[in-house]
Amino acid sequence: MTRALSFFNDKRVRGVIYQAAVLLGLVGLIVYFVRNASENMMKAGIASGFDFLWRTSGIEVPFVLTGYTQQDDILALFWAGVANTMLVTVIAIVLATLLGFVVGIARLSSHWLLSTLAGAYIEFVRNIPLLFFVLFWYFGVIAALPAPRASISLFGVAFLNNRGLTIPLPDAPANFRWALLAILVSWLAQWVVARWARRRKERTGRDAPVFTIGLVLVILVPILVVTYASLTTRWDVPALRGFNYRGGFVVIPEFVALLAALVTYTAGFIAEIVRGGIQAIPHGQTEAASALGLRPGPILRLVTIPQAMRIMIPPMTNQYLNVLKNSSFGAAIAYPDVVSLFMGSALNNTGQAIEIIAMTLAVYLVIGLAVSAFMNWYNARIALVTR
Amino acid sequence: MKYLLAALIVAGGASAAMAQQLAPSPTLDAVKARGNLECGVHLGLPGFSFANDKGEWSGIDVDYCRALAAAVLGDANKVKYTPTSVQQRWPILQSGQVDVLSRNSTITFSRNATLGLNFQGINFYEGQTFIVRKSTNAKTAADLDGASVCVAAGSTEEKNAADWFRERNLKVTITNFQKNDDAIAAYDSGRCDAYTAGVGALAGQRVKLKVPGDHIILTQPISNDPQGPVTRWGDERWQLIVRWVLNGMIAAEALGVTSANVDEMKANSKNSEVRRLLGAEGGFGAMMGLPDDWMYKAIKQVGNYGESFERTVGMGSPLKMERGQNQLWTKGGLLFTPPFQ
Repeated sequence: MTRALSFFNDKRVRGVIYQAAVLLGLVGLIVYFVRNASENMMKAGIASGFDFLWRTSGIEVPFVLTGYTQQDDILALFWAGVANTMLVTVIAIVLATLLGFVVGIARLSSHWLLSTLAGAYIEFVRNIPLLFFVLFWYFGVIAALPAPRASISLFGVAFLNNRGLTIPLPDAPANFRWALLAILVSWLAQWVVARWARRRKERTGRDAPVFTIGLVLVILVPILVVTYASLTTRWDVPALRGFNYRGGFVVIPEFVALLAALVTYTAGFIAEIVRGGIQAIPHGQTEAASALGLRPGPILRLVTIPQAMRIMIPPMTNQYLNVLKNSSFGAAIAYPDVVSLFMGSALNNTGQAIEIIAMTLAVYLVIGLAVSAFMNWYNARIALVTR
Repeated sequence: MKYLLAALIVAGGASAAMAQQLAPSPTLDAVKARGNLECGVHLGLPGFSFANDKGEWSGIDVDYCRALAAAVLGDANKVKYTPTSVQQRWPILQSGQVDVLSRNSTITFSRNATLGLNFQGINFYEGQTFIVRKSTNAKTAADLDGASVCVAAGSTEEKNAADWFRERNLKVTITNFQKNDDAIAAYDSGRCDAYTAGVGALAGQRVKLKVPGDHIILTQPISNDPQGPVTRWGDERWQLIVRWVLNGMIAAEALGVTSANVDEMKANSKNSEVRRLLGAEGGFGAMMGLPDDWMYKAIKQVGNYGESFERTVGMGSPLKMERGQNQLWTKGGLLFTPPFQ
């Protein structure tokens, strides 16, 4: 008896028991909700389960990366939506970061006009709802572009009009796959060479012509292989027939508008993070760098930004996650992302709200956690290493 | 004393047996207790369900709600309208937020089989077609090869259009908007060569375009889209009421009963079907748990189907639609109602 009592009086044992009880309760609650919902839906005659994913979708999508066609199943429609969400998110993150850095640094410039303009941009962008940006860019872009018959021709192979940017597409992409492989190999080679050169310099103090080799490997080789692949491939060049340009690949205006809205909007927030990060570096650092004789450019590049990065990464992660979540605004302008295709069209055709919303939620959760994990890894990598 | 008691028991039992035994109807009870009918309608489609600047709703779908309210509550104005988008309409009905959905929604097999919904008849035979700019010179849907088409996501039109063009090896780009209004705005701004919806819906939407005269609605439909009031599964008695109020409006037109002559017909008609419809004989209302003058009130306050049609989408409205398929079967249309017998 006393032995049993002392067992339960053990702090660790009690902790485990409490945690197990909470976990059990949580699982029980979830099971109860799921069963309750499915029972009620069965009574109301509403279909449930995931069988619908293998039904023919029948929905035509204007912007497809995955090779989806109208006769594929709903699961394929789902992946087409996910791919479109990822595409706009990734490109928007890259461009917003670039624009945000430029604006943020301009904000700190001693040039009055530059810093005032950057400040005005930031205040304007941060105080206006994103939906306004999306609609503004959408109707702005469409209004600014001509009808198909009056398209703006880019060297006679690509055409810009209010149906989008129509670009030529290779008939057989095999040569381009090889070209891509060659480019990757040459970039890898550059990385190896740079590493070897740095090591050698640290060891012997001798310089290697890294810059010239880099120029060849990083820029010249890709240009050569892409040119070769282009010349040896038959191209599907868009041509005006009837209503529209036929052939090629169409970058739809919805994509451009959503991307522009996400980039211009997020850049305002990133600019503030950049400014905050830089201003958080003690002034003594910059003064010390100038006392060493460094000019303002190198000071920014070598002293300030590397330290500021450590401060900027965590809030930057937030902004990247916001871009991902905000990409769902595409539904407002018919950009075929996962919300628009899956939670819009597919949900309406099947009526299976719970399953579809749960799957869409899981998509955002998985991508969001992946972005966070990457940013945390990067944060740990550049964190101050105390020796 | 004993005899009196026995007589009372017999009389009581007999009267209980004679009184109409009705299946419970929670929806009807709730409507009566609330004092108004909750009706799901379109966000705003002239001719079907559209609120003017004073917030007064009108349209053929709204008229049905009004007739139902008149039949159930005795007053056509006791309706609360819930505007719904393409995406909201089913959940709002399924969750019980509205008693009935009267929102130009096409009857399809899969909706009936998987959404827990029943379609209670047809108040509008719609056919899908396209609106295009006159400058395109398109005459039929087949002329739209290569065009881009704006459509509302999740509508029957979205799938219909994709199937129709694919079957004919024609290539169109379909851009799916979340709301009908977004799609029509994008069409108007030049994003698309055509916007697709039902003939009636297009006639209504056309009014919203910047220059309605520059656009033409293609006359040849590519599908049949019968539409009518929708209820959720369960509560059979409520479904019965919803179905027969619609039938009653069509029967009234077939029998020549209008809002103008309904009093006279009720008092003097020798036609037994008219008398049963208007509650002069037969006690049909009581069989559903309604007053016997249920259809009398509906016709008196809203009118028969033909009156409603002409006022909302027909010649008496800006839409100026022909009756076409929405004419009585005796006059070459498709409207038909089982007898009130």
